[in-house]
Amino acid sequence: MKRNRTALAVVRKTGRGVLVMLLVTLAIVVLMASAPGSVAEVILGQNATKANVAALNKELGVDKPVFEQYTQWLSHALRGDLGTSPLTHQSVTTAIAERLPVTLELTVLAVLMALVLAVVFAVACASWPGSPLDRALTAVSSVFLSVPAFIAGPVLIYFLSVRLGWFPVMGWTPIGAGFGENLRAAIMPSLSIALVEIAAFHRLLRTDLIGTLGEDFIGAARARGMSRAYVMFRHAFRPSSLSLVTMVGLSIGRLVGATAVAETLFSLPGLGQLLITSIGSRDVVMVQGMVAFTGIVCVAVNTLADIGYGVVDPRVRRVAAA
Amino acid sequence: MTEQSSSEQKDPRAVKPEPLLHVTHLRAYLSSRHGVVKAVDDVSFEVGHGEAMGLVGESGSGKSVMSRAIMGLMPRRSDRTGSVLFKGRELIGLPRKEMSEIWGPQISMVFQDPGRSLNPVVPVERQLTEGMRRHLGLGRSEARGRALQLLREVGVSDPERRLRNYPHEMSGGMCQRVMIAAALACEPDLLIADEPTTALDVTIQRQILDLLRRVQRERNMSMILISHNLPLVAGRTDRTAVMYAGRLAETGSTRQVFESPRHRYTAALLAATPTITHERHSPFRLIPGTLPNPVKPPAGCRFAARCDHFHGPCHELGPDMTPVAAGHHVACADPVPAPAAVGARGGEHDGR
Repeated sequence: MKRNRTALAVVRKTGRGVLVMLLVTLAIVVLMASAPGSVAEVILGQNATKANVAALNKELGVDKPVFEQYTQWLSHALRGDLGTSPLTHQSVTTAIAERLPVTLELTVLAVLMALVLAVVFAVACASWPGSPLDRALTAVSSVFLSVPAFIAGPVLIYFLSVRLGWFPVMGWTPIGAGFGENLRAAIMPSLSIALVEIAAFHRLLRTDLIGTLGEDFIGAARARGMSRAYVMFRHAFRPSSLSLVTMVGLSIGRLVGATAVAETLFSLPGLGQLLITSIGSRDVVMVQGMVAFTGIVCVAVNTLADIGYGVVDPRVRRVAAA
Repeated sequence: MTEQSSSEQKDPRAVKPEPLLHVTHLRAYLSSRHGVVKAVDDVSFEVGHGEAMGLVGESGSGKSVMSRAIMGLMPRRSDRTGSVLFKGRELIGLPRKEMSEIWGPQISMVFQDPGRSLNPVVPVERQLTEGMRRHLGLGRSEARGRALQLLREVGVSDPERRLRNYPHEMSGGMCQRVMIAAALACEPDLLIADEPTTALDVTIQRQILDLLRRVQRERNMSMILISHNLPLVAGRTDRTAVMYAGRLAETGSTRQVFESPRHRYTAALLAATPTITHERHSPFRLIPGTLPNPVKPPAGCRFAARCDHFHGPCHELGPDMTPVAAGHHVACADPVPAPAAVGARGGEHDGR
């Protein structure tokens, strides 16, 4: 009975994820088709004749109706073949596999930094709400919230690389070439995209913590003589982190866009950079494959966040399965 | 305020015993948008060893704030003055770290709504054992064993299973039994029960109050039982204090207060209590008016505006209470005349 309901919930969530994937990939085909220019023009260059362009378009199959292009792509994609770029002649899956480690590391590092800093900030603020410390930290996070990565990046480069020389100005060192060096290359780009997330997580958790600390069960735990730190971390933290779990799930989607900015800014060989160059050269195959891939990641992460709900709050376990 | 008149003491050389809890001139002010709320305004009383005191009064009279002021669990923007002596030690001004050594093994508390005073995301076992592990230094399995014993003591069936439960998997009455078990875990000398049954079913209310009274007696623990439900308190306490608008109106043995109330407010409150013998379709005797403004309470007796025996001296009445019988004190300028002899000592009023 209980198992049936859980299974049903999993099926329903998976179904929803598949639907999202179909819509996203379809939307990309339509958008790319309606954008001016084509990959044939990019390949053949400025001096190509119209006839040449049309011939190449026919060869690449981009002259067919949009829907036919899409079903064709889909039937290949379902078999794990995301196609080959007509421009670079590289298989899309290979290109993704090559660049994924960079983007993955940036994203994971950004989420980790954002979580650690936000938790420290939020706990400090919620412990003394309305205090000068609370107001100062909230002001700092307001600044973070309003500084986009393309401004935070150059500022960080100026101070931490140019003036202090702690980190390289740009470029990437793979993990294989030494963990320390790799981390040095990754920290600044991650931090520049993490700032907004720090602020968002901090504000959310601070408000939820203050709300929770006013609950009767916190008073009851204090009345049992439990220490401040124990009450904060063993009683208040978990019930306060529900919305944070959702927020982290959503932020991973946002970070995919943000990594594109950071990778361009710091010249890192990641997915975001490839995506931007591919869009510029109207490389539909490459764009399509990458969108499909990041879509799967986003859907998976948000499903994980849903499951995380149940781990954090036992009351959700039933509801989620219902 | 156990025995105050010296004539009662059998041994003339005996020094008056130190009460467990001695509250004097306690004030607890809360700041609100409307100004400073004088929730507790100059209250003095005592609770003896092994004694159960009922604290009654209508909603908004300051009972709950008083319990928190004694406990030291005041909201952030609040001010507490006066003296709270517990075993001769002043609790007001004690740093939080030292207070947390008192909370649990010395004084503990049962709250109003059991559904909200248990952490919804923490299993029962941890909420029961964390206090014992901290204060008594017990290991995991020892604390677990004691938790099972406590659950049996408070009448929880299948305690093994309950330890694994989360609060939402239990009924309100069951949650309150768990809360009581957690409050008893470190064997406190004083248990403060703040409206422990208000959020519960009528049928469960009695069971919970009887349970509190039973463990209080068995453990020879002191208890302050706060309630707005007079008949429920009557049968389960040794003494009763009546609170009105931040002050105490009357204190005495439960029998004295319920059988021969001397304060006009107590008398009116008792007359307004519906009973099972109340004649059908006859009107209740209500107390006209409402509680005075807690930001600017009136000078003198705070009940004056609603009292049908109000006259001049009422406005000059201070917060101090005057004895009207052994152990029976009243703050009233024109008390209800004393009825024919009523036992000054002890005894429960038979609660309904």
